[in-house]
Amino acid sequence: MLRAIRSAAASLAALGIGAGAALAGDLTDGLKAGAPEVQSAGALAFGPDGVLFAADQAGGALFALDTGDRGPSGAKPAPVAVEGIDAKVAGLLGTTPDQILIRDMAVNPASGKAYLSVARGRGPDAPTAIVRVDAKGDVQEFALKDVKFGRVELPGLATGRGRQDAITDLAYVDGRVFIAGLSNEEFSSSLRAVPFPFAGTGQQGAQVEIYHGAHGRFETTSPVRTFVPYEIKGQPYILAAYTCTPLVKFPVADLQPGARVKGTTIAELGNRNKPLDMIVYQKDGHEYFLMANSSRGVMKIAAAGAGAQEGIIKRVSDKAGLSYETIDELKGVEQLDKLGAENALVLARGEGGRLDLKTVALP
Amino acid sequence: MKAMTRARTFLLSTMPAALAFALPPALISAAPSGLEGGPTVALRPLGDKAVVHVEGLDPADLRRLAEVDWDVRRWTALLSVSVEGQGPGQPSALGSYRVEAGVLRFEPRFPFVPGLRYRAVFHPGRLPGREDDGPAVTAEFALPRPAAVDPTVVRQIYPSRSTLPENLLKFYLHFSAPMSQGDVYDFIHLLDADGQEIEGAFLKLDEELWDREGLRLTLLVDPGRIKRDVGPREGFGPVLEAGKAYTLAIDARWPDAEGRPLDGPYRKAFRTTAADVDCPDVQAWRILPPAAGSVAPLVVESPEPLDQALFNRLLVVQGPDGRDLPGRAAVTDEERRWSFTPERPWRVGAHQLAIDAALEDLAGNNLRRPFELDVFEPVGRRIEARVIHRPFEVRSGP
Repeated sequence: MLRAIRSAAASLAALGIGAGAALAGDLTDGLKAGAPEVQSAGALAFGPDGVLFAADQAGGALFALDTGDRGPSGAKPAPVAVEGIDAKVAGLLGTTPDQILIRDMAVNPASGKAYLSVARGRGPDAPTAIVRVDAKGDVQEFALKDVKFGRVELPGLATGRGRQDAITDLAYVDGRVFIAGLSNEEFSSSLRAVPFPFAGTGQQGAQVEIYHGAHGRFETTSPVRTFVPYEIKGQPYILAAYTCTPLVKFPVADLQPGARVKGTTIAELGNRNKPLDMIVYQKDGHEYFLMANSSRGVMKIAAAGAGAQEGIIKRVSDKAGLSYETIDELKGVEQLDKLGAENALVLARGEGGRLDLKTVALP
Repeated sequence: MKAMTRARTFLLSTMPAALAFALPPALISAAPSGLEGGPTVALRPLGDKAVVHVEGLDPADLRRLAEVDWDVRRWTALLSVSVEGQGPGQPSALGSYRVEAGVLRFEPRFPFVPGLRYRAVFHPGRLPGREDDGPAVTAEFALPRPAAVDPTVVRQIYPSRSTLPENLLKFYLHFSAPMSQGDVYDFIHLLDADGQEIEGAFLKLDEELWDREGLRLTLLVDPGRIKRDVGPREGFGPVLEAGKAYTLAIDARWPDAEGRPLDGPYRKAFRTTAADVDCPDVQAWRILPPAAGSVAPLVVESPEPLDQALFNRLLVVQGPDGRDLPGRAAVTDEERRWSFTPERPWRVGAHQLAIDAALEDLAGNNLRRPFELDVFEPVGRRIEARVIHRPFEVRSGP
């Protein structure tokens, strides 16, 4: 099962750094009604006002979709729980769980509903669907017709026969959508930034190269796996987890078109640890990062040191920098997003390979 | 939903689709209705798709049904079409409902999967204006599986040579037909000389690096175990070590996009040599220009093998006017030879080979920077150009 990454737009709303974009009040104002032709919905992220961003890898585009799902404002979202969500979604799409791929999950911070991007089939031309799940456990299609949407071609994204870019994560940060991806040919790291609202077809976003400079005396261009927006001393940063363990911070201000940005490694999280998904939250007056990993379970990382932490530039044999604790109760977590201030919604692989959608208290 | 009363179940399964769809709908036999003179449920062809019809409805019912403004919930309460054999509580498949030509038609949002059993349940008592929730009419059906074709095979694995550097970064797996995606790493194994699997050898990316057609998978050796001084390598050691023998093994169980297993397992055996930490040097390439007036290939020979996909894609030939020449490239000789056959005969004059600096060797060193860059190395020593040119001259033939 694919486990692409959702974003951390929810945490942004909490931090208030999404406010800069909402000049005219509502982000959906510039969107046009119609039937967006999304070829393959992958990574998902919510912005404010119920706007769902969906990366379309096959179509080489980024979509902004008005879900019309604003929810009851100020309400604490109700817990969502569906056992065997994979079977439910497969049934809705007229097939069996082994014949779908749930690519990503994002929770609408406005309503608490979960949105899943799904491929109906396992082949290269599998059609796509977006389904939403509410607190009652109802699984319904978010039909891509008669919706307000915007579409923008992704700058520099390869969609030819051979070279393809796989998009690993999306996040809306202060009027820009950041898109991390990696190529199926050259080994490289790039982060694209597309302003939102989309300004039209002539507009190109920024593509920046990112290095992280921490592996003893070596630095590389390893691709970003998942990332989360985070504010340090009033300045927006992107905190990115890499394919080979480090956690690296970048000032958003540095991520300008064509820039080559060198990040600061603030944690080495240990061996055999591939980050899957990450959120930021507050508890008891402190901020934490919560990160799901392929084999080290879910890590809780105190964020307080992220600003002051100096870059790790010495040889590291295991862990260094910010410390973490492993949350033993959370097993098999493949996707993670915030559900209100106190909970997270997770997609977790349970007994017999069944995939459950469940609400867990933030640790 | 109330408990269903099953009037009678009839099976339309294994109707040869090609034959059935070739016939006018009226000739496709359907079992008799569940109720005497009442409606029947049947699978029918519509263009190249299959749809579900409720036939034999009362004209007054049809008229009322044509005027309702129902949501999905109401429609599925009247007629649901769900996958059989997946346990209780299966939702009705997405689809559209319409009244047309004397029938109620359900057209699935996604085509019915051949070989999968579906159950259609129609509740006449839930028609508009009806009060009673009498017996339901049900039908089960399955579209036949398509005729067998030749099984899918592993066509090629790059690098094609059998001697590879210990810091090899990637393999390309080429298949003869599109493959199923989502669990690929379950079917790929790296074995040591004793046939033992090397755990964690590959970077398991959720996004799986396929090409658009689903014919080629890029497999990255875990870069964390290639780079020096990073946690995974410190903890688990390198994946490949110089002077040893390995086998890349592909399981026959790996289903193709149609769900069929591969023709058989595939094994690529190789030995390893010392790490390659140097950038490819394009000045060391031999360029063998063809004669003007011919359409003979331009041949470029690299002393070291290069990444097959990038070698094929990142070289461009520019003519005397500086424009890119149209033509066809090929990579052969264990990825050390690039040849270019132009669409039009070569002209006399100065040409250039333009090489994108993203070109990599087998260890991921590109023209600008080695895979591992020593940060203390003076920046000025590195090539910063995006494209590197090698001029060559095309002369008139003998």
